[in-house]
Amino acid sequence: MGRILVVDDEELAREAIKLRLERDGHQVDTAASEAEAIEKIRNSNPPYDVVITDMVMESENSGLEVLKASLLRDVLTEVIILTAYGSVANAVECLKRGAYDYLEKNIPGVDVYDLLALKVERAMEHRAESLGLLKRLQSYQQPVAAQEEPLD
Amino acid sequence: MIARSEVQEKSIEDSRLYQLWSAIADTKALLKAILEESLEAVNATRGTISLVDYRTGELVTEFAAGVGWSEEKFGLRFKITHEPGNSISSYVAYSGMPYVCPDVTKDPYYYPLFPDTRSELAVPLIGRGGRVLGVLNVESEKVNAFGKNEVKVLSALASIAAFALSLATHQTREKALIELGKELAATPDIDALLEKVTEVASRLLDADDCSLFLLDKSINRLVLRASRGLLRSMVGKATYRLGEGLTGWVALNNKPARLNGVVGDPRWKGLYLELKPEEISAFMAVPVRGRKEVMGVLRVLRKKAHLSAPHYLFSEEDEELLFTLANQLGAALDREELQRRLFTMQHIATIGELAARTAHMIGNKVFAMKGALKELGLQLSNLPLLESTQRLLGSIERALYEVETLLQDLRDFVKATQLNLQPVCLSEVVRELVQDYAQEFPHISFELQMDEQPVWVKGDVEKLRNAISELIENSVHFLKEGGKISIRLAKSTWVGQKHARLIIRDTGPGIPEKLKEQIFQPFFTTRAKGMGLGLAIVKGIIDAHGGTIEERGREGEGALFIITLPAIEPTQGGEN
Repeated sequence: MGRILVVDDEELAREAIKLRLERDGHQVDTAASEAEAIEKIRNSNPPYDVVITDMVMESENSGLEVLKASLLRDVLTEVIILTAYGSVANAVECLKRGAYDYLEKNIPGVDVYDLLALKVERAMEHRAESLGLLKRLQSYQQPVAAQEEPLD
Repeated sequence: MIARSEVQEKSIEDSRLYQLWSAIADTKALLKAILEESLEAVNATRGTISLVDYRTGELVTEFAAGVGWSEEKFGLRFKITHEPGNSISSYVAYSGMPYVCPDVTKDPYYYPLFPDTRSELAVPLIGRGGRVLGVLNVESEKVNAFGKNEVKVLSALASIAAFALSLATHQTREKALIELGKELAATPDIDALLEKVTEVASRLLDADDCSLFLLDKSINRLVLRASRGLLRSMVGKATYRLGEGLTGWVALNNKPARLNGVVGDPRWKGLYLELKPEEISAFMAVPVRGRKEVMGVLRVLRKKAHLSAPHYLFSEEDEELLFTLANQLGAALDREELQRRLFTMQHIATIGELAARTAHMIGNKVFAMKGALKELGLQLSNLPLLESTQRLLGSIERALYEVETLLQDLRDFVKATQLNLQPVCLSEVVRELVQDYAQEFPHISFELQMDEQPVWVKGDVEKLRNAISELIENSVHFLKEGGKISIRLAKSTWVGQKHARLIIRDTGPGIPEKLKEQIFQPFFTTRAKGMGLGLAIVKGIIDAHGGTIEERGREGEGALFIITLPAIEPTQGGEN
């Protein structure tokens, strides 16, 4: 199961997400601010598989900063952006810059926690695929490099 | 002969007129001085200055000088005519030409006033545009006392008198205009301001009534907003279609109309009259022009003194004055509209910002509560629970979802004014919506009326669709089985500006008069569900498009919403 970081300045929200994801067997860390999140991401070893972050915390673009830090640490970390109130435009910006998905916290009549758990599953699969692809790519490159040498 | 040489030597420059010139504000003193100067200049026994009373078509003796005047000879009125026996002055006022009478005993026009009068000379006071303002008349006890030289001198003095009269009128008008300008800038109450304009126009133009019609775009009609006399009780009720009657003609063609009387003019309809048609002496109307378009019509009328009185016409000068008044008013209305719009926009922006922040905080808390509730439910699911406990958990969950629905409403409201403008075929949007709703609500009959030519507007298609949907849904909500919703879309042209007009009418209970003011306010609703942002959002969307929305139905007869949006040409649809 995955190593997941949940970033939200709302303690209740952090705890609720943590509980929900732990039920699926994930190992969940939490951070209460953009700064704390970036610190934890930098020091993580191995890197987190999935980072779930609120969009608006210290600033309108906290989510974006967390996304940058995550991709800097490991380009294949999957980031899911949470938006509380219609900051969809920001979330879309995050998607353009490499976030895996975004989720609106307040969709009337939808169990957003289950939806989040589902998105985390998908993110894990996506990460696994990417890692597999990377491995194949590396193993493919090595023989090519070996063959190239005699031609020189 | 001595008298004549004196006349030639005496030049106007030496006279005491020039001392009076500095006191020109006192027209009466000036005219008196001119009269006295005249007697001296042509060696006359006595003389008068009479002024035209345009209302009655009479000449009234206003100033007299010389010997022998008594009370009963003063203030005499003569009919202005070429008929004999009505006084020489009256004939001069009629002809507009100087008149020398060498011997009164042989003169057909002479009207005997003094037994010693033998000869007379009368010259007209001519104002702007050749209009006769009055007559300067001198007489002598000698026969043949006045010749060419006297005519010349008297004419010169008469022209000074005419100039003084014109200047006095001009000054009065200028002063009133400056005062009105100040009031227009300072009066916050628009209705008081409109009243003021009609009052000033009546006073300055010597008119018996003045009415102001302003365009109401939502019904595409000119509506009476202020009037002085008979029509006062019709304010807000009397309306003209564009092009209908003279008033409608002025608005449609953006041109003034100036007529003597109105009977016989093909444009005249006489829908709303300040006076009986045969009582109207003269009529004048000018368009009230705003920055972009005609905003209304300002019209004045003069009443006949009696049925056979001559027409007391409005002059070119009068028309200029009425135009000036109308222009000042137009500028004031523009400013008012701009301020209102700015205020509304600021108001909405403030509410929007507040709403956005609050919603963000509440949304976060609700999200957390949903999570906690879910975990609580899971932990409790292993325990044997009372049915009522289960129900309570369900209620909390539902309540949370409702809170989220409210948040979504709020978000829609805030977003309503943020537009993504594109050419939109409004006809298509309306047709699709009506089709959809007709399918969804088969128990209600829908009627759609549209021009063959599609109507295009520049707008945000999603937001426009939302706004129209909201109105239709609103109607559906209040309609019973068999109810009807009529929707009409048409393009209307209004001097230089084309508008799309969308009318949505239903056969529901209608909106009570006392609620009409509030229905477009945020957080107003008579429905149980939601926050009552519906119509406020609709208005927000329409306002942001530069349009208007109004409710014009009568309680008990159903609701009637009228939307206008600035239209564009279909050819512009392909651009961008």
